[in-house]
Amino acid sequence: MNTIVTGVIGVDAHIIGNRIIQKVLENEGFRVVSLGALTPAEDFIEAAVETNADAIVISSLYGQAQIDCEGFRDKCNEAGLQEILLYLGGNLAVGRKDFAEVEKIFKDMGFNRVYPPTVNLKDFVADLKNDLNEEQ
Amino acid sequence: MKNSKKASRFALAVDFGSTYTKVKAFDLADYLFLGSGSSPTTLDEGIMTGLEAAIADLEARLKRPFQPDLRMACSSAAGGLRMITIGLVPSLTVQAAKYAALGAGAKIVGVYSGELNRKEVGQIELLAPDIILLCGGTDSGNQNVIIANAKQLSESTNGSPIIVAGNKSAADKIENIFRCAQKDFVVTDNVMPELGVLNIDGVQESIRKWFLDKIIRAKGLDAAQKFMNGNLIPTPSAVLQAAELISKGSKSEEGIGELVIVDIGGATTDIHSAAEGDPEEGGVIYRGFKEPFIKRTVEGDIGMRHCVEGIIQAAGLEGIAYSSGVVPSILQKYCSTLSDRCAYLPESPEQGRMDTALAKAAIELAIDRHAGKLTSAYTSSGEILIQKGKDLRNVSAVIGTGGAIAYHASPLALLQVTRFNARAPFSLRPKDPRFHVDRHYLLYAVGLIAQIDPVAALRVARRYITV
Repeated sequence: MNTIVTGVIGVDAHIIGNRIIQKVLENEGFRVVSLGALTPAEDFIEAAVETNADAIVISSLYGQAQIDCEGFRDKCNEAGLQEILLYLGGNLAVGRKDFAEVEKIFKDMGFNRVYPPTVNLKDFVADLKNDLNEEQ
Repeated sequence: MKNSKKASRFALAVDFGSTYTKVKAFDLADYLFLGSGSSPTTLDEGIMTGLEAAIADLEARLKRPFQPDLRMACSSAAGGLRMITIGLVPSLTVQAAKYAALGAGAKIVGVYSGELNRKEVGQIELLAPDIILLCGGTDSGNQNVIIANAKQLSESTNGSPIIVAGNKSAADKIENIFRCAQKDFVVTDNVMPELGVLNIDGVQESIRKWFLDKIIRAKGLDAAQKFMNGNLIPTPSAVLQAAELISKGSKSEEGIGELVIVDIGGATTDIHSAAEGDPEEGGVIYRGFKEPFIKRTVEGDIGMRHCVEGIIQAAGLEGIAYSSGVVPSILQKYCSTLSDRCAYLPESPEQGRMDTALAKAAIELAIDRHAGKLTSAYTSSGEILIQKGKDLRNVSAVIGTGGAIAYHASPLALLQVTRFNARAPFSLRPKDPRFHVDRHYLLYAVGLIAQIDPVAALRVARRYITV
């Protein structure tokens, strides 16, 4: 069974979208470690180390993701999580019209998948299963 | 006839301390504390010699022979219960392992996280603890690190017994490793089966059992065990049992509610809380895992004699000197004479003032480290508060024990510093507690009696401590 750590990063209290992600993942048979709202980057990483997680799925709605996620991949590497999949979704940058631009920013930061707030969660789950299969 | 009220009327509670063996006599039929005795602890010539001398001292003070029906004891002799804890992530299984060990009355002599290297294994060999607690990984979580650490320990010359309380999926492999290496070990429930869920009962039960089965004999305390009715337990564990009893009460009587115990000694300052500590107000978000109802912290760098320099380092020389009404150089000089004089008592009013200021600083540091903290964060929907650790603002009582408090001329003034302070509003310390002083050092005895007769123990506590 694959283990997924999820939560809302930074000082962002918007939990509802992340709760839906949690439910969807549980229904799909994943072991979900849900950290809730207002979760510092370090808590995601520590939880992933202790639970031997396969992926970290981060929500962010309040437009500060770029600041909150800075150096996230480096911190994972530092903690020995070189292989972990990093997913990020939500309202990631305020004022940018072109999502491709936003996606590039976060992919350059080391995230494997980046989603807009309008993503269909079925597509997200399909991507996750694909990526996990490829890893194995 | 009063004698018929209770089959076990007279009780003797013994504390085998590192330097002194202390005894307390009780009349449990009338809930009376009768008197104390003490004598130096005798490890070399047999523990009973010191105990007999302490009982003789007691009888001399009582001016009559004392024939107890019940004998109970705790011990911190021969270094106490020295433990090393090993976990994976410092804020998670490492912390969980520490709570488990401290809550069982251990003295933690080493804490390790992640994969051990040779140097660390060498340190563990040198420290030769009474028990090693090996944790790491939630159930079905990380296995590599705890297995690697088991291998390292199995290849070391370490002979300390090992309690394994990590990822259940790694348990079989670890059992094999230790069995092949002929190590003394036991596997118990994971201290953190799920992320953020603390599960320390299994570990604590294993610690208690091991203390009784092996460590007591190894420390030369088995003669004392034969003399006792109840089980010999570590002294801090007896104090924790007292904390729980006084807080929750016995079956027939209510307790006094949530409380904090401050125990300031020469080398450490201990804080015990019996409190849930959940957020008290709406809109506060709790982070981290829920701490145990009975939580014990030991500040190993803060004490009135051996660790007095630690108080100065943590609280600052100038501030303490100012509160004592002396110039900093005088305080510094005084402290430098204290660290190797465990039993030194102040000899002048000036030294008394310095001791008072040092004790206040030590208590404040220790309660501050024990209590939960709030931090504020600004979100798009306004300011929110995040709580880590226990909210102790509504505890109903603070009990002080230990020589520096019990023998102080105005102990309540010392305990006042545990209070919530408007200058540090984010430190969740008691707001309006009642203060009590354990003047006769009865807390450990209350914990010991509680094992056999909780009703009598609670009444004794009410009469002499939480008056």
